[in-house]
Amino acid sequence: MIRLEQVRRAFNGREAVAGVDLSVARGAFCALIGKSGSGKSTLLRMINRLVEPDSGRVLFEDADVRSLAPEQLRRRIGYVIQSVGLFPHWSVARNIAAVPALLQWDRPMIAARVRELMALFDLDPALAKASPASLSGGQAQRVGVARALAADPDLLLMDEPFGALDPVTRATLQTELLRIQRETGKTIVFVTHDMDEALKLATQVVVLERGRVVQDTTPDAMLANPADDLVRDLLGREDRGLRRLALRPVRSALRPGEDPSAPTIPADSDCRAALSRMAELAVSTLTVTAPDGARLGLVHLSDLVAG
Amino acid sequence: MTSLLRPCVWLVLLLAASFGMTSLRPLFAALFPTLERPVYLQEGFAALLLAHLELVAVSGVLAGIIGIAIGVAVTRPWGAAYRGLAETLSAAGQTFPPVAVLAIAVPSMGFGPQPAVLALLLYGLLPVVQNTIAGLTQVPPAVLDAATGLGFSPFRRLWRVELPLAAPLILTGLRVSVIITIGTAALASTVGVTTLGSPILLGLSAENTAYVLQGAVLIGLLALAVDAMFDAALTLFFAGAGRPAGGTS
Amino acid sequence: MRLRPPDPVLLPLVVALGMVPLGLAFVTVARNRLVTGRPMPLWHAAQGPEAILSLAGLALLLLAALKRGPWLAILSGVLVMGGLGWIAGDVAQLQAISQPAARVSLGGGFWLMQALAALCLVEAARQTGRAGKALATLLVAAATASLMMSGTLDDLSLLREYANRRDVLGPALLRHIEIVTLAVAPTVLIGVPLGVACYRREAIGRLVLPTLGVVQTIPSIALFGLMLAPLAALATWQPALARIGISGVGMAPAVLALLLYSLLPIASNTQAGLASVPDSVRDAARGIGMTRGQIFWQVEAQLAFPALLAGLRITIVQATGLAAVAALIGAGGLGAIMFDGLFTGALDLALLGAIPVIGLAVTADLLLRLVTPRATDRAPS
Repeated sequence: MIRLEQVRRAFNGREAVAGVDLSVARGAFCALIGKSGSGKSTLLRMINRLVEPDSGRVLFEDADVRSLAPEQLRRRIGYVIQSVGLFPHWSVARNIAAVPALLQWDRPMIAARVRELMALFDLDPALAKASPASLSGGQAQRVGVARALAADPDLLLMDEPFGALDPVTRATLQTELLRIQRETGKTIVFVTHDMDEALKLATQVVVLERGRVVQDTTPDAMLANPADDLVRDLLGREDRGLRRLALRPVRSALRPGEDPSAPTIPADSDCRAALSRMAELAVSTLTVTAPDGARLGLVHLSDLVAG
Repeated sequence: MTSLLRPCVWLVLLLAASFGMTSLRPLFAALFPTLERPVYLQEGFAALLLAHLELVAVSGVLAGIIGIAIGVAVTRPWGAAYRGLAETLSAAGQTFPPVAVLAIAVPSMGFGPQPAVLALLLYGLLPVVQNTIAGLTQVPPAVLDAATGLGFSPFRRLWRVELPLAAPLILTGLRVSVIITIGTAALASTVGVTTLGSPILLGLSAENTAYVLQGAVLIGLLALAVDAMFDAALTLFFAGAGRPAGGTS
Repeated sequence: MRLRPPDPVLLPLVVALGMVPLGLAFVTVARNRLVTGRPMPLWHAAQGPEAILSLAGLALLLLAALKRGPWLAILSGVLVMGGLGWIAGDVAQLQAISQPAARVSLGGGFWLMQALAALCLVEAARQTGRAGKALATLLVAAATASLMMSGTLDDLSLLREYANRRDVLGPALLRHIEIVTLAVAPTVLIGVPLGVACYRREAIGRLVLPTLGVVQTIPSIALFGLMLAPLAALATWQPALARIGISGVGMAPAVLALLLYSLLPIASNTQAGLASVPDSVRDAARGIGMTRGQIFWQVEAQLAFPALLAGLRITIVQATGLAAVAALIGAGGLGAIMFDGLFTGALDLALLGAIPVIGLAVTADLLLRLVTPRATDRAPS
């Protein structure tokens, strides 16, 4: 879907991006992670030509982005930023309709799309006429993401979209985004400095440092084999094992059997939750249950630790 | 130190113009060959400047003291009831053109300097009150809370925390007030007060353009010098708090 | 039952209102138009039903202050204002019968009492909100109109001056509006693009805005004076210019000076309005694929519009006052009547010029405030 080839970009003589090669497959959820100043936002903004590279190529669906008019390109790519940037003089509905209006869709089609998106993001239809100033932070960012998805782009660029939200709202929106990504199959490139967020959401994690790629792999592989100390620091030295467990669903450690004395755990939990529950209840075996209450089997401490 | 350069330049020009205008007689005679008396001689320009400054200083100082006092009073808990009235009046009053205020004050209080000073003072109060209230209310509540929490008495909190934080805005209000007063004071010559406006008025009625020019140059220089001083004070003490978009008269 | 304490704002105002007549003359009575009048205290002037009306008004106002009744304060305040006007008018009528040349002018006491009563109205209207404001405005307008229409005030010196100058006042008012329009209309055409340029190129802003600031700092009378000589010289040098009205005195220098004054509020408010658009909004607009033109017209210009309107309001109010000063250089307008009165010592004539100037400025301010959308209730569509 996207390929970056040896892109470089300097600001005032300082290289923000110093020769990056990166490719993101269709349907991937790619998290760019690094400390501030690592070049992750610049890299993201090169994809929709908000920043032009000094050298190198950016390919979007195998076409060099320089061959596309910037406005046309941006209308095909959704864009979400941390400060949301809703147009304060427009209603919520008109904000969501911004790109379809730029693309000159006809009015009934726009109205239908706005209704559809508000439903998808669980926004009260009464908010359609509200002013952005009256929204809570979580609502505003829902509208921001809805605006980005309005013209049904194949690619969504997100620059720390949940960074300014409280932990509870952030977790809700993360889960919603994951659900929407799975339902629609969008390709997402996501900038964050929060490793938990990256591990929870992404299928591809790219660690950047001083404008270079340090490691580019799946979350599980990264937890198994951190490339260097920086990646180890980002992953957290002490609870790396727990984070890795969190990536595995409890179903993957399921073994057949029955133990009436073992406490239960829902089947959609992850292995870290199972381990936590064992420690809490001082047991080494749990019964895994389906949502309807059916007993699916057991999970043993030794299976969790064995990996 | 460059911030002090501008007021000094204007000030030197102002003093040079007021003491040296008379010796520029040949220049004015050449510029206006048809005029019999090309330089205003009724009073010395330095004396006019002094009279003008006196008028501005008296009303300016009083407007400053009274205006800040009103602004402080209505932002204390015991004076809060008056804050709405003070805000409404200081905002609405400024839509009244100062020259019209002068023209109304004089008939209702009589001719001469006293009603003029009173009118200048009343009008000059408005920007000071408005900016003092604005300055004191924009102090972050967290800062006030912290000061109280550290055990500052109300007076100490006002003196050490609120007024210093509000100072740039208060000074800006004073600047607007004084600049307006300089212009309006010149118009007070129409009601018989001697100011730098006197040569202009005599020049206009006697069709002596040289008088008009002489008075206008001095008033312009005075306003620019005083404004530059306020600007320098703001830059020096508060690293620049923007210039006002207020009007003059 | 706990008694509420009296209104802390209204009560002192009402007490002061009651004390004014003890110290200041209510009206002054002169033998003719040009001599100084003798002061006449309120208790000499007040006779007949209007005295009872004013006293009742004052009593009700006191009651309103004690009982915290802002609506009663509005009604009784208007009663006091109207009653005092009626008293003054009646004194003038009585004098006119005995001495037709005598002039009755409104004194310091009258003005101060009216001012204090007006303050009571402002405060009471503030406490009651929009409806109170509308009611107070309506009542004051109705009281003024009925006193004027009934002819009660006709013998006051101010109204006699009005009767004498009736045919000049209308044209002067139109001339005043003409000067302001001729100055402000081109200013908008020049100032808005200038403000946009100042915003787009910081270097232009750093050069232009301080320069315009210097112009704003120069008092109007000085600026008019400074333009007099060069324009007069220009007219002598090119008589063709003089024929189209360019000369040292008259409309031309007045309009030119007003134009220069008006550039700063328009240009700087345009610039500030554009600069107040959050970067995140601009980034989002670019990010979703708006062109530069779309970003300017659909986002930046619309968000900067209230600031621009505020600049226009400041400009018009300011120009209305400055146009009065322009009468000194022969531009005409209401200022001419005002200065005529000040120079000849006919103080009621000065009022006759000054009051409409204030009226114009306040009306312009009010109208432009009505059309300016407030940041909080910007209507989204």
